[in-house]
Amino acid sequence: MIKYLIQKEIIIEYRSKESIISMITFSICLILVIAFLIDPLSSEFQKFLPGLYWLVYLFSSVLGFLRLYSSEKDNQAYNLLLVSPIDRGNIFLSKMISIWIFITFTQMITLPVFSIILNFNMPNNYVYFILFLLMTNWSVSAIGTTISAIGFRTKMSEVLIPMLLYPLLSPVIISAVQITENMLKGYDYVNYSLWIMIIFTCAIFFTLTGYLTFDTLAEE
Amino acid sequence: MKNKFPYILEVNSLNKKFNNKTILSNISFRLKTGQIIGLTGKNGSGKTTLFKMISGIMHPTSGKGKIKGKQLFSSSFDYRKHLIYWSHYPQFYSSLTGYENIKLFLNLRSDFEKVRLINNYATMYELKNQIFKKINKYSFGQMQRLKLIQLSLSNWDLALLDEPHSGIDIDGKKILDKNFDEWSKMGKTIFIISHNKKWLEKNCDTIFKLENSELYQND
Repeated sequence: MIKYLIQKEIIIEYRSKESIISMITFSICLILVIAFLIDPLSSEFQKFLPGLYWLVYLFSSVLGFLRLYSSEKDNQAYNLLLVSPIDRGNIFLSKMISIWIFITFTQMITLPVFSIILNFNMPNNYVYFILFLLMTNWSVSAIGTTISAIGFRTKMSEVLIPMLLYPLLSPVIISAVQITENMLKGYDYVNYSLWIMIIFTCAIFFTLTGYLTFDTLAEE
Repeated sequence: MKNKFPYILEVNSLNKKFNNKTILSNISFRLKTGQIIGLTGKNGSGKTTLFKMISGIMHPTSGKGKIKGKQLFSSSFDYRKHLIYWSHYPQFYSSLTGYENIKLFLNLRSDFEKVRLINNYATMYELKNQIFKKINKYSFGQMQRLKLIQLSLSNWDLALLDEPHSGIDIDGKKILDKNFDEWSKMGKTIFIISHNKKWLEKNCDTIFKLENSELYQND
């Protein structure tokens, strides 16, 4: 069942381009603003790059989460899913996997822009760096999909979702900044394994919480 | 042969409150298999709320129910394969085509083999030229016809139809009424919300009325 739901999410995004375009545009604008504010070549600035890198994705991914359920509100199409004889946890998983794909795609486009404009050198162990990006995106997607499911039916969804999302994403983003900094310095895995564990635990915890509680969250 | 389930749906002591306001109070009823049953009542009397609770979109404050012997209002999703819900909203994804919407609907109900019949039904219900267009190009009446294709193609035992005649032209209404008779003869049960008293009296075996949060039956 889940493949039909993911297929639906991807077709809708491919045709509307609501999430990806807004996330990419916002990320690039933010990168340009940072580049004009501070001299990217100064050594002082390089210290802040891991933090800025994740700040860009924290804000841009929120745009994606605000749009995550917008197609369901239209024509009350969501009821079609709720009445279907499927495990509602699959609706959560399909949303989570879709936004994970969209965030990763946004990073694929904007990471080279970030690297070129802000003089950000990819860590030498780039395979691990990419795996770490994918895991962090998974964690962010799991938290964001759960919070969006709580907030999207409310009238104040555009206020409520970021308000709940930023505090919950903080441990993941702080860990991601620490890991990126350690990787850029070429430190060994032992130095940042604790931060990896935090991101991994959040990913597992919120995936399970979202999957198991979605049946209740989804009902009117 | 004796029918294993003479009553397709049984609901007992159903209650629904919103912010301490009682919408439905102690509702109990049974629907006979293969009948066409009408539901009427003033605007805001709780008709749509009742349908939403039976179909699993909304949870009741309290109460029990069974459809074909399976528990309603439970965490199990198995019971939902027996019912279909026609809301007064289109319930289609506007970025998908009519064909894609029906295909998704059938796949989610595991009616995979019916997908190849979509084009035939689109021709039958005069949507042949429209079926591969996005939903945002459809008129409301065309969307109602698309719902009719959903209803005709999928397997269900109980249809909960919330004002199905609204927005449909005269030909569409005739097709709909003809289908109601056929489905009823096939042993399928149809539960319809309507404000058209004449239509209900002419076509329904039983009519329920929701008034002051309570359900009354007129045979």
